[in-house]
Amino acid sequence: MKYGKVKRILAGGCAAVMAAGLLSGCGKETETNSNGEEIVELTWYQVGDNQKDDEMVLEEVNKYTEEKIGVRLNIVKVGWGDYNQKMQVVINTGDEWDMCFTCSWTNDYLQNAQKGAFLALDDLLQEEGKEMYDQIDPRFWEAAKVGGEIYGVPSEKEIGSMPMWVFTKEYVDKYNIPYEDIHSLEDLEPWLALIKEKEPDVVPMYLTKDYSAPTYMDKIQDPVGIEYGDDSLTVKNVFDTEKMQSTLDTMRKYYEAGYINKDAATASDDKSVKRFVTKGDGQPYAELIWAKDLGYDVVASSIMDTQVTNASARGALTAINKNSEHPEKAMEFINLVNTDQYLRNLLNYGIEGVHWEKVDVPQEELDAAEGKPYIYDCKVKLDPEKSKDYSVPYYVQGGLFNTYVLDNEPIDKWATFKEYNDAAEEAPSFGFDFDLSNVSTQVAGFRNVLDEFGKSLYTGSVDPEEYLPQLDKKMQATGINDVIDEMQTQIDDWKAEK
Amino acid sequence: MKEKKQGNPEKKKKQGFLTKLKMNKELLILSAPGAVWFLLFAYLPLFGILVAFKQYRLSGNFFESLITSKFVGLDNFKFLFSSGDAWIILRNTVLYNAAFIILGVVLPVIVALLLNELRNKGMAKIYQSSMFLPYFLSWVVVSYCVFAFLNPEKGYFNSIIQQFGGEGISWYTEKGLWPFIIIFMSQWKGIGYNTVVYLASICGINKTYYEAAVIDGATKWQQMKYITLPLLKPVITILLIMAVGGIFKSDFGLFYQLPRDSGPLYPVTNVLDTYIFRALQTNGEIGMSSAAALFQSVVGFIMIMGANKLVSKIDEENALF
Repeated sequence: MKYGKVKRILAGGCAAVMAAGLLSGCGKETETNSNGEEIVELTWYQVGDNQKDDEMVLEEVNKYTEEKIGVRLNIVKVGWGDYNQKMQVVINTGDEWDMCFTCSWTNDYLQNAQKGAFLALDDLLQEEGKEMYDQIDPRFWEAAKVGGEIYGVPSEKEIGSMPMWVFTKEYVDKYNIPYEDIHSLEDLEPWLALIKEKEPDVVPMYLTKDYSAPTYMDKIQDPVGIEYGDDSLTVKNVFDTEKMQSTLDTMRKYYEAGYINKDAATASDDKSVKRFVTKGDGQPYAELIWAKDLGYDVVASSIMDTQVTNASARGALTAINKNSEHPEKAMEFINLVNTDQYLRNLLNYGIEGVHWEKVDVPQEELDAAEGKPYIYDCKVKLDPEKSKDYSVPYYVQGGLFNTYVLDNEPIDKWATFKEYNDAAEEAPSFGFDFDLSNVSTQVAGFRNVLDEFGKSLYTGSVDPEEYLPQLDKKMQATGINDVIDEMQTQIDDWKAEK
Repeated sequence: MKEKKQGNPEKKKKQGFLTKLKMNKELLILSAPGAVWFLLFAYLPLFGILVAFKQYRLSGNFFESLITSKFVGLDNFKFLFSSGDAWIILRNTVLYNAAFIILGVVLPVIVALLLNELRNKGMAKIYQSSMFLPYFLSWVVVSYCVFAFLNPEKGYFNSIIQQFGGEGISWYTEKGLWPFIIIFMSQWKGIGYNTVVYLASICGINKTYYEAAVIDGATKWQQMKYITLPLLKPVITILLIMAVGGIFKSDFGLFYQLPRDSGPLYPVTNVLDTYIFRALQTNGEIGMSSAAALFQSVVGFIMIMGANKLVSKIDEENALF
């Protein structure tokens, strides 16, 4: 009798659970838009902080996309520091998602593509994504290929990596420093000495723990890679190259001469520190962005010729889940973001009339830009208060070239980007992907050794004569030679196929 | 006993279970939520241990991926021992934890005894609360507070040293100092919490023991030695055994945030958790992270069982199980 009762309760409980499951499963009744198209909901994971007006903008976006292509978005934003980890969990546990942001520096594109998380897009691109496919620079598509297939739609922006020296304009003007002629690390020396002598309050060369000394190499699997300009494709450890060794010696010299802040190896950027020069990852007109960030004017000069590597060309992509229920819709949507001016600017700047206003472009500026691509007949003036409630990383959502420029930027900003991209040189290793499956144990040890020595060596905080051999010894112990050999084999095969 | 006399063992067993069920109804109901929680979140996911032996690759949902991924045996565990530093990392982990375990008992017990003897209960509350406060701070916050003291250029300590004509210490590269800093900070943060545990059990000691002792002319010291400490022994042993289980785990924030991830300090700050974190940042193999977690748990399990066995040999009453 007792058992019967228990059973009945259990059965009742099960039924309730199942009913709940059914209800939630069937709860979504199919909605249609005015064209009679069924509306589907797409979940989109993005990196970045939540904004106060996210919901307001999303409502506006949905209104538009529901009508246009029958898509409703559910955007999930994950903070900068958590995104990588969160996405590993979301992807590896087979959570439900349709699109996500991926790149070479967080939620790694290559690894995810190799592990089979993303959908191969080649067919979809020829249909739903055709318009966008034809528009975006073929080199971005080239870079997006992993094992011959494309797994993500690149956000069109600067294609190469452009390390730059960033000078504070005040001192450049004061001492008439020919900053445009300063490129290599060694070029800096006389000016650092001058600032050190004349401006005791100023840190001549301000570095933080994220700094890495100018590197003339595509570090495919840090610190292993191929040097720029090495067409023989010889895999090397960056710390074994002459170039890096002499760079580290120079850094040490600067550090000992007091040009570099003493806490460089552990410092995080403190904007209140007055500095003469620092290093930044540039792009055309980057000085405008830095100046806004720092609150004073800066000028910049490039350290080396722009190089296109896999990592640099994979700076931002949007991928589609292999298990997505609506891959065609997702592609249709990504295509729309990258080709539709209204939607793109709405996502980027927020609602017109709330977060920003259109302003006219001076006629002479328009005339001067005549014939260039990506010129729009208006600029964006951000509302100084409201725009703070909706400030998003622009490259996360799609390409930049169909966004309007800000009122303090030149109207031909994107045309200049395009010129830079066309002029950028491809590194010899561009297009090669390393599959680390066979050496993942060895690679696991790298980060520990690099973190232990890298920051202190790069910033000159320790003597390379003493510490380079130590680093080398530990790298040997973790099996760096296996990785070099493996990479050389793979790259030889790749070269033979090319 | 009664039941034993009855025949039909089959029936007896059934009845026994049911009567037991009925007898302990209240207790069972009380423990049900906890039991369900354990079942769902601790026992059910145990099959996930499989991940540690697989080269995890996606194909369909999690279960499909898990089944179809390649079995690689113990390969995922290799990275834990492959680097030249494996020995240093294990040494750091175990020695720091040993220090934490010992100090984590000694200091809070002393403080609890002292607090208990305070006449002014109001002041005792204030001391207790202010000691408890750091427990709620995250290591990130603490690391910035410590940085204010140790900043090589503008830090408080270096300013004082320079004031007296000394030369500033480069705190974040001087590895000799850090074992002390780390142990000190960990105790500073944890002491309040542990003290409360001991204080609570001291409060639970029957006052009549002390009254009797006072009548017999026992001094405060004797009361502590012969009443308080012996009665605290069970709690101390339990907490000790539990702590031993965590000997291969370490507080990530303490070893990563506090030294500001400074490279030159790695020889004294790199522990298993920080090593694993850095290792798996580069290759994102979840099989390896599972392997690391499994390794820590298994060693922890062995340590707990070992410690318990040891305790039960010495004093059976105080053993956990």
